[in-house]
Amino acid sequence: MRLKEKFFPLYYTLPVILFYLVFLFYPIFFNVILSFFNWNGINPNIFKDFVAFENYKNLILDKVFWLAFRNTIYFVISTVIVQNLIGLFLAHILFFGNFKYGNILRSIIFFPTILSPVIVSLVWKKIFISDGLLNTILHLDIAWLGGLYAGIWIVAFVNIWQWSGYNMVLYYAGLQSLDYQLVEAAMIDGANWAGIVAKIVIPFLIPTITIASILTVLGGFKVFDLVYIMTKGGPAHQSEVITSYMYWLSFDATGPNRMGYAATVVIFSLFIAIVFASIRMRIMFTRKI
Amino acid sequence: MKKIFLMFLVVALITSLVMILSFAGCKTKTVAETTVAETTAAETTTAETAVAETTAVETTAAKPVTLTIWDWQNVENYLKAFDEIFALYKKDHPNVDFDHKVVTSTDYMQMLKAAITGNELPQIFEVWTGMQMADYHSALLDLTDIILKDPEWSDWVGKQASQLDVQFEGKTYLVPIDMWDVGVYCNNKILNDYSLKLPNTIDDLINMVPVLGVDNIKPLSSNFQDVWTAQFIFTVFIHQLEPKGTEMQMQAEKGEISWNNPTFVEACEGIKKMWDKNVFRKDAFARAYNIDGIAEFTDKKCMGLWAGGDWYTGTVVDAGIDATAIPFPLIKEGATPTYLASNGLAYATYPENPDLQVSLDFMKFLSSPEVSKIFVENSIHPAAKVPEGVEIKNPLLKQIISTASNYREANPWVYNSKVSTAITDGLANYILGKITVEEFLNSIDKAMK
Repeated sequence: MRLKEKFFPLYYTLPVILFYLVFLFYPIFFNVILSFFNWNGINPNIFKDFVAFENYKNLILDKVFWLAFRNTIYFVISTVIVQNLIGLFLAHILFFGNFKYGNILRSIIFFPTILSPVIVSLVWKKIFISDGLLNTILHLDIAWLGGLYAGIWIVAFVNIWQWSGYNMVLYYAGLQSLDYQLVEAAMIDGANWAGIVAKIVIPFLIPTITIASILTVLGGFKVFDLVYIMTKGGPAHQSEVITSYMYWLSFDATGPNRMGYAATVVIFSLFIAIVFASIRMRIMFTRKI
Repeated sequence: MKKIFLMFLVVALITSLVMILSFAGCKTKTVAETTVAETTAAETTTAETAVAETTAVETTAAKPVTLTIWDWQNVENYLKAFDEIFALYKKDHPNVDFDHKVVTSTDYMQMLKAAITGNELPQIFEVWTGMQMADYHSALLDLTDIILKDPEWSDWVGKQASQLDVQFEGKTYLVPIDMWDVGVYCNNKILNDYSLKLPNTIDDLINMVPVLGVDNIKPLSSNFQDVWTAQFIFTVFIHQLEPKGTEMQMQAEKGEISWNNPTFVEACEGIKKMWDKNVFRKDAFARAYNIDGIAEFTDKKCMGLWAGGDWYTGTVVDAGIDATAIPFPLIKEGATPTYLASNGLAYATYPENPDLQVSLDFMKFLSSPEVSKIFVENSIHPAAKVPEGVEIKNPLLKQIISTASNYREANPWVYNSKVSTAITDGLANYILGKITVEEFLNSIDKAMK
């Protein structure tokens, strides 16, 4: 009877467990196995060419992979910092500014978030191309997207433009539970605004900042559509990120059809995702966010 | 609770392992079947082609068949042409129906790979010619004997199609459907407005830069995001400089000669010279040929469209542009004019195809003069012979079909994916000034090791 009771919750969760088994555990496990094989995605015999740790060795020596990894880190760091700062700043202005049409302003700022990244990428690409809007207005002839170094930063900029509104909403929601009497008391005591922000607002928002940062980090590691449409990872892989590199390795028409090696890159990405997810879980449990 | 979680984890791992093993087992069986099927198919087709054909006609008359065809030719004139072809075929084969699935080229690769590994291939499907053949040929039916032993079919196919493209290691795996003529389309109005002549050499293009630059027009379209468009200039220059350019490139690919040789160096320097003199826009590497390149040309922001294939003839004429098709301008005076040619659409089938004979019958029909006529009427350059007396209404297509046969044809592809990647990456880095020409060409030699 006790044993039956012990397993009772499992009966209810069985559909979800099955779902996880088929769509999460199986692909992950399959990828792990695949990373030890050389497979082009076409040969029907997937497990014919066992290469042991060769793919992992190649990963360490692969310059393009580390370039993609570096770009991903650049992308993540820049978006985390700038997106949060802009979100925080906008939420702060809108919350304390007490605007008459604050709701409309919030909606306008949030609006890019609901757009498809594909559309956003295409529109911004039109702006950044050499005979596009930006160069025409500024009377410049700069290859914003086609150069060797700027591509990834432009993509990061577009991502920040699209998602800052989301962070703004998170911080605005956080500020709504702020005890305004604390701010008023500080003002009566003669504190300036910078002091109030640094000593009251920011500490109060730490849990929100943590969650917003973790969400931005996880979103940053998943970026694909912006990169693929704006630069396709080029030129010469210079704006490649891990996800676009995985796609190129496995599916691109000009790619090398290296599914086994791409699986190794997936395992590396999974490892990073697990690290950040663990950090997030730890923070959530310890701070009870 | 911990025990339950651990138990769940163990069950999950065991189940995943079982699923993977069953997947692997299933595939191994398929390989064995494939070998048998390949042998059977080869035997059937080599020894009993005539019998099979007769039987097929009888069988197809009785059995209704739906031929599923996959490709990525999501272009209006292609779709219209295929509707006409299906209707024509069904007149004589009322039992055959068609399910033509057309997706974007980006989705196609994933779809095809999933279908191959999942044993769910359609009867007929498009496969990339050139580089991808190295990987894909293992899943395809060897058509060499089937086509060769059918004098009518080999006569239709063999005349114009670029054979190297549809072959791998001497065996034919694809039926070429259309020709992919890659040249430069020049806007005659822009040339007249600025008192310019059709460019004969790259120096002519360079001399156009200041003249056209007044109105922010470039001599050539800028579309190197798919770096093969830059790689093709490299290839065409090799062919212009050497009478046996294809052989030379293949020798280098086999490691028989170094990539770092004077001809290849000169070819690279030709591209770099054009780049440095602003023949292309500076952000060419962020522009796709099939979106930005053609838009730049139809918006009259460039004089010439490179790489303008036959698939653009309809678009260019519909945009009201009076254009002249020429091979890529010469790297220097005295070089040999060369046209790049490949196959655009090419179809394959697979050994285990349950409707193999019906599929082969239809694939043969696609090479027939009746179909070529339909293609020409829809602004498509057929791989098979264009029958005499067919009026080619599209003036640009007419030029291409006549011009292409007047110049030396060059195969643009590199078949080794490592080499191809080394060329595209290295060429971009070289053009953008990150590495020298020696570093670029040595990197290809290194990639081959």
